[in-house]
Amino acid sequence: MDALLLSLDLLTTTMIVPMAALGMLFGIFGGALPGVSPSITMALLLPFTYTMDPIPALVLLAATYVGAEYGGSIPAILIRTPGTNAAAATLIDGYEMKKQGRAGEALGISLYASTIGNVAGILCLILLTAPLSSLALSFRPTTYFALGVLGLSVIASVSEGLMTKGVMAALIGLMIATIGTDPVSGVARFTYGSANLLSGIPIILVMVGLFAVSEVLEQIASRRRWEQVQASSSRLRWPSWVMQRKIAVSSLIGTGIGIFCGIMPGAGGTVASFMAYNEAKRFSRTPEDFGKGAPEGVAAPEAANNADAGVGLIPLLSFGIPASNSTAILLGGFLIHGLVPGPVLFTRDPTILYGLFTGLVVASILLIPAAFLTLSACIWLVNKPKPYLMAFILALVFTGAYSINGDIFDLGLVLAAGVFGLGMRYFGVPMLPTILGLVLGYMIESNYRRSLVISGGDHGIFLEDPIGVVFLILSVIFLGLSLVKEFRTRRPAAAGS
Amino acid sequence: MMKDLILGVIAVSFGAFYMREASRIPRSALGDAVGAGGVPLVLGIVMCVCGVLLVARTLWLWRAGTFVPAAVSDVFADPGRLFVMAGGMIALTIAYLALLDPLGYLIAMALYLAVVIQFQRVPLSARSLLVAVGGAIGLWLMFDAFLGIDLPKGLLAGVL
Repeated sequence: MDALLLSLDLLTTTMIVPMAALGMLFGIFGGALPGVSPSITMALLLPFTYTMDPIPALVLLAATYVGAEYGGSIPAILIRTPGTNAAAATLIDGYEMKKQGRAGEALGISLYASTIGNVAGILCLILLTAPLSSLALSFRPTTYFALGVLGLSVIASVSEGLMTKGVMAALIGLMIATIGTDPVSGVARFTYGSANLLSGIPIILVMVGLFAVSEVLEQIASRRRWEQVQASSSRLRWPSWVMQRKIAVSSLIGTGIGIFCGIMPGAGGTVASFMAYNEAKRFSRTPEDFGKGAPEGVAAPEAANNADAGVGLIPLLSFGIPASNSTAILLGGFLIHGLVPGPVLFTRDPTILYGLFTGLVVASILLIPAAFLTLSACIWLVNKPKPYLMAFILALVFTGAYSINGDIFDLGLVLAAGVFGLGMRYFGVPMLPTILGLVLGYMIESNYRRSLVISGGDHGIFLEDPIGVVFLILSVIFLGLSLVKEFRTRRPAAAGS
Repeated sequence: MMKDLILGVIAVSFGAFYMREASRIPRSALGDAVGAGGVPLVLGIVMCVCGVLLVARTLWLWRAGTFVPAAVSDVFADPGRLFVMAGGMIALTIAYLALLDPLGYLIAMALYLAVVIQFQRVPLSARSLLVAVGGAIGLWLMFDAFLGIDLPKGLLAGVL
């Protein structure tokens, strides 16, 4: 009851509603642009949130995330190009429906299923975050060290491509995190006399460079053109009662799978959407229709990737460990305001998290009218020539990065991160472990060294913490199994991104 | 296969370099048992190990005849084009950074937008120039006028 009253109070006294609306709109536009993932869309907004209060800033970012997950289905259905990776499963039947002149129906089904997945995901988030974070209150420095190592190990193991490359990516992030002043002794590390590097490399700059700049560079180098959309044939139509009954089972299947995948670090919306598509086909009365414009083939993946979006926030808010690119950006939003998500924030300042929950609920309510309002604008945007869009994204990235410290050196860092990111894509090295290594580097090292200070340098202290030992054993198991698999069988390696 | 081998060699080389630099980090009187260089040293070692594992795996599977090269996007299947396009974009962006202070944000950004658009093989036209200039003004209004971020004024210092 107290939480409900607090939420109502926050609703009326903060900028939650306008920020949720703005984030939802921006997210839908960003998600609708092919190649601009939810994480890039959020990264573009990060510099803007510097001057904002924490709650509106976090609501803006979270609503953007939710909006982008839905927005990705628009180009998937209309031009057979998913706006987000998670919408790749939607295009299988969505585009077929468009070819049959049923684009509006497909868009309506996508919206309907997205709303169901969204609401379910946010409900799970609200119900599960508090109990899980209270569990984390018993964590000691040794536990936090082991949790960070486990988080990195899991992400490195399940990321696209080889586990070895995933570990390399994580190491790169950890190495970047060591640049600057040592947190214990104050000694400068890897600064090479540069005053700019003494305070370390800001996470935001690396995130924006790795995700946004490298993606734009790849898009510019690509010969791929986007198909044009006829706006007149794409009017969004809310599904009828008959259609809602028809897609009910597939929507529920998608929601369930999305919730499951959201809790598993590294699984993500893409895995959830394809799993949901397969399972919906398995349980359908007409599986032969899948791939030929089956409405269930649109409903299941959309419900899944939107449910995944909400539930995917749980590891971040409960333990402070982001499990996806987008939640890593949201962590950046917390860090900008000097907040560290996790159990301590939950007990010390619960208004922040309740404000975020309230904002997410408002955003999920606003999704339906926002989708109707923005479709024409999304089509207009998608029809704009790619060169113009790519140029503007770069302009926005570099202007936003400059606004943080007013230092051109920061723009150089963003560019360097972008070039590095392009190199990572070329060699098939995943980026999420790098970002996780960067954000968890301080936590891992400081808790490791703090533990040794407590024990007087004796590493045996790590064996005296049962929860920490379990985490470390799990890390070894994850990495070991993945390594054995890599040497035994050929494992499909990632494409360049 | 060559990509993975090259990556493995790069990882070992970089890991070794990083270890060398980590060993040069001075110890502090305020330091703990591990010291400022302890964790970086471990990171370097693990990076070297990963590089060796990657090379070993690649050669192992190649000898077994079961190595399958990674599926690449069309961009990376054409390294020549990638080098030209990405290299050109990097050079343009460096030029923008160099000109940002002397010319000021408005002029530098308008030039940057115009050149980036042309670089992507859009014919020079009144429309593209209008988009570039309008875009720069729009961004300046959003950041400088609306958000209060002090962007470089450069040649327009007396005007803005």
